[in-house]
Amino acid sequence: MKNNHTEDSELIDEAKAGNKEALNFLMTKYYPRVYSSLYAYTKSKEDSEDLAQATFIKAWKALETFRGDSAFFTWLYRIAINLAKNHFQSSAYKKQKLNISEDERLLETEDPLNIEDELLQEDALKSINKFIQTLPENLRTSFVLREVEGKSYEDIAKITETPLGTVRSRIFRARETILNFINGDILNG
Amino acid sequence: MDNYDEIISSLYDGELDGDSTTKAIELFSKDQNISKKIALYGVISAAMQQEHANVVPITTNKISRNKALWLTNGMTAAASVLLTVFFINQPDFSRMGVDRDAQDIINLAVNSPEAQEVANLKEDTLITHVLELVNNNSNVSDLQPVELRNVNFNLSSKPKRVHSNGKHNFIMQVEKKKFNLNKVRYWKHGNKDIYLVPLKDGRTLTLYGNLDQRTVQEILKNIK
Repeated sequence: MKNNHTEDSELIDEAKAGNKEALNFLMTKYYPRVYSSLYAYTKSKEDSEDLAQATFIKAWKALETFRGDSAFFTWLYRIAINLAKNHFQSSAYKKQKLNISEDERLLETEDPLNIEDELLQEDALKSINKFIQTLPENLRTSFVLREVEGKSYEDIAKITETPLGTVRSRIFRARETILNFINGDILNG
Repeated sequence: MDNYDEIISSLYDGELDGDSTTKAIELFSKDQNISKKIALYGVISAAMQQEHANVVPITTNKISRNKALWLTNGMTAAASVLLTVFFINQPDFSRMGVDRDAQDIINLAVNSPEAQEVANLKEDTLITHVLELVNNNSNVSDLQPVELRNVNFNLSSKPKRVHSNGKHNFIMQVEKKKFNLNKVRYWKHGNKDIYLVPLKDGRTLTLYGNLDQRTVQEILKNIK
């Protein structure tokens, strides 16, 4: 285990070295956030899907230029919002769809659960947020420090004065608890 | 840390070292359920960050528009008598293939100023040149007239000099800048093609229009 917070640098290094699984992981990880950001901007499912796809293709092409000066999601977010801005500024966007080569098709996110339909709607996101407020204090503190504040496990351990392994476990348990809520109350509710 | 799911949670947070990351990615690639779990982790993150989204201003360095890419009329007059197509390592024109990587960059770049910035970092002068052509072709100066009637192309002068045979239309230019090409390269942009052809003196001939390879071959033979 490392002792410092390096965000996605290991995954990005692997992806830069040609590890497609690492790239797929990053895309799977960030697809919901990119999509929801775009949806908030476009208010269109189709446009958000198109733009999210374009975002990841563009990010893949430009990955070598990502220097890590900003967080990976910030970088992705910039690309996505920039594409969205162009989308509105240029009607040519709709006429001129991006040409996607075979290689690029392999990199398209597979929309793993069609999750955006149900989970990325505003109501569902609010429900998830509301549920997070009901998490036990020790889980919620570590989880919020991680997700909202972007703190490393090491920093969270210092802040909460708990062992690193405990922080790791609490964050994992928080996620599992939230997933149970999603699966039970939202997806099957 | 033996918990399989806990490892994935740590991977999601970027809290694994190199070896552990590699192993976790292997697990991830073999188990579709993990992929779904990661996607749901992403939904949770989206939910938590929804109210904390921070719009970051986009900084773009648009491609400089004042680059003297195109020859002056006087220079093109001199250039026109030196038009000699030069194929190095590519005597067989049929081997000419679309420059897919560069085309992908251009396809992206024409849609986004930020991608133009990225494109600039790739093959600086070459792709910048093609982007200039695609984005700004109405402002470029044409080559001094080159006679192409024997390959059935007439030259119109308004609004700019366009060679046309009724079916194909294109503009033709010689670049001052040297791209160090040693073979013909071409890209597609919409229904148009962009051909960069190395000339014997090291400069580059640009053909831009709705041209197929056979037609380009005929044109180049004519000016060779």
